[in-house]
Amino acid sequence: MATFRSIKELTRALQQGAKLLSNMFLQRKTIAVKYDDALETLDGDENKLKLLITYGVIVQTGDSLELDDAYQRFFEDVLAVNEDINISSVKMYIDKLNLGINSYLAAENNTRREGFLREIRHTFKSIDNATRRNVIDLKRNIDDTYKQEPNFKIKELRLKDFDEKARLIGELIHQTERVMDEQTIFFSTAADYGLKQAVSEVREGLRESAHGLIAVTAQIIDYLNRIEYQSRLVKRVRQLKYLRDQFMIEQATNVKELMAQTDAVWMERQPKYITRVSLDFLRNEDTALDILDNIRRRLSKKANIKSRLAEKIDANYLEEQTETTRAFNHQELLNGFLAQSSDLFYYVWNYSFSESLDKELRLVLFLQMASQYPEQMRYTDEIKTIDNIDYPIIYPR
Amino acid sequence: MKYTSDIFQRLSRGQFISSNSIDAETRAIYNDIEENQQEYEDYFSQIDFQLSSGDGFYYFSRKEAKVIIENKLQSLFSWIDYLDFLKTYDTAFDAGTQFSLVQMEVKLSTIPGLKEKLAQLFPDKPSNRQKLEALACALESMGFAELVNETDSTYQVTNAFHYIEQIILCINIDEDVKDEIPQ
Repeated sequence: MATFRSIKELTRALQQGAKLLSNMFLQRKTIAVKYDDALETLDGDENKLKLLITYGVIVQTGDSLELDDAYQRFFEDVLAVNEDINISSVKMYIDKLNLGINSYLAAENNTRREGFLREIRHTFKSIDNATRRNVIDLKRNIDDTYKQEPNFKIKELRLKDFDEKARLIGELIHQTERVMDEQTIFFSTAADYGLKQAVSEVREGLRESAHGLIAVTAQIIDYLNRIEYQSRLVKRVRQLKYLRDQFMIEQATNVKELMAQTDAVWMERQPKYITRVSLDFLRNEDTALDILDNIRRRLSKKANIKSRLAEKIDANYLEEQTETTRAFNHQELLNGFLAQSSDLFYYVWNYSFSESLDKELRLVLFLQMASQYPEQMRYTDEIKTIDNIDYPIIYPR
Repeated sequence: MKYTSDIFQRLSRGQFISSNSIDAETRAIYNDIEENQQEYEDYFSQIDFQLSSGDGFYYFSRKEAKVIIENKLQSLFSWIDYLDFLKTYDTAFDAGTQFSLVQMEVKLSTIPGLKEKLAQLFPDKPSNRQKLEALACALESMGFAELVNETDSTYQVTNAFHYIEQIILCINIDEDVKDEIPQ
């Protein structure tokens, strides 16, 4: 693989492929670009594409093209859109700082010291920049993860990872500040104006980052709590739903006691408040007339009234008719029988009814009386005869 | 104390008033209650209503029960069903969430088990769409959600939704039964 020999050559190559590179950068998360499509983007100039591939700006795998990792990271870094929080280990930065400082102190002549001083200033600056950038990225990533990640578990894992990263950034800030506080010999020897200015700027920057970091950590904790609350809730709802479907919920939970304690109105049937019209209003106000008129009109719709009318009453129902039916008052007969001394057949045979009664009816009546009131009768074995009819003698008891 | 009538109209029907309502009047009512909470409490206690508050919402409760426990349980159980459906639809369904019935209808076929859960709700409504509408209506009439956009039936959940969540979290399950519940 060829390498660029100068910045000029690099920028020219990038310039030539600008359209394609910006396209590929936009799609870096989603799809790999096809060779033919890439060629089309470059207006069919295959040489340009070949050049980019030869110099390793673009990596070709089979038919698809991808931005080289180094360039992608470079673009992301420069454009401040990187999603990964890149925390080079705290130790590396601090070691580099200490190495620079110690080298400075050990150097014999000023020229070399100058060189180390520049290096130290540079390291300080890059720590400052890295922290600042990391805190901003962290904040954005946390928000994105919380709002967009649909899976609870992944959300929680990622947030916990961010929490750890926040801790590492905090550690870097802390360690850097310690170096600035503890390397007193160096700072008193190196009475360099540029260094002093850089250090005070870095201090300021780190303080800001530290503040930002506190907010970020609080945010992470808040989000984690919310996730915890939500997942607890989801779990509880599932359990209760299961118990409810199994008809176990009343026995297996304290829901009954809980409901006994709460008397919220929403659990009641919705009330209906019916208000009557004031009679005074109907009598005295002019507007009431309109209302009555309105109601009258609604009530007097013909179809309405017709449907509520009954059929005409038949004239036959209105004429008075009498019908006489005859019936024996058995109880009255019994009372009379009990009050005298002759036997039942004689009593019935000779009783004077309001209507004339033939022999057969009197016979039926005798049988009915004899069978209906056995408790009040005394049956004897004697038999008598009237008009060729044999009958048993029955006395009142 | 400018809104006694409005407050009574809403709360006595079992509704909730939320601080994050999208309706400016509801927010004004909420703020007025917040400023004169004691006065309102005294006022309504005279007609047997207890003005109660939660995290960003107000509602009415009683000092003495007006309904038997069985009826209360029935009201609560329906909400367990609704919540089970809503949390399956979106595990983060909470105050501030926006949902549209169109979107829900689409999710019915993509989220496993969601359609079956909906089928159990509102047996008197034949179609899924009607069931979803009934659910939105239940949320709305309680003051748990408000219609944001009529054209695609988008609703926003209010703070009062926390009320039902808190009740759910207050229900304790016996430890030995807990082990029997499948995950």
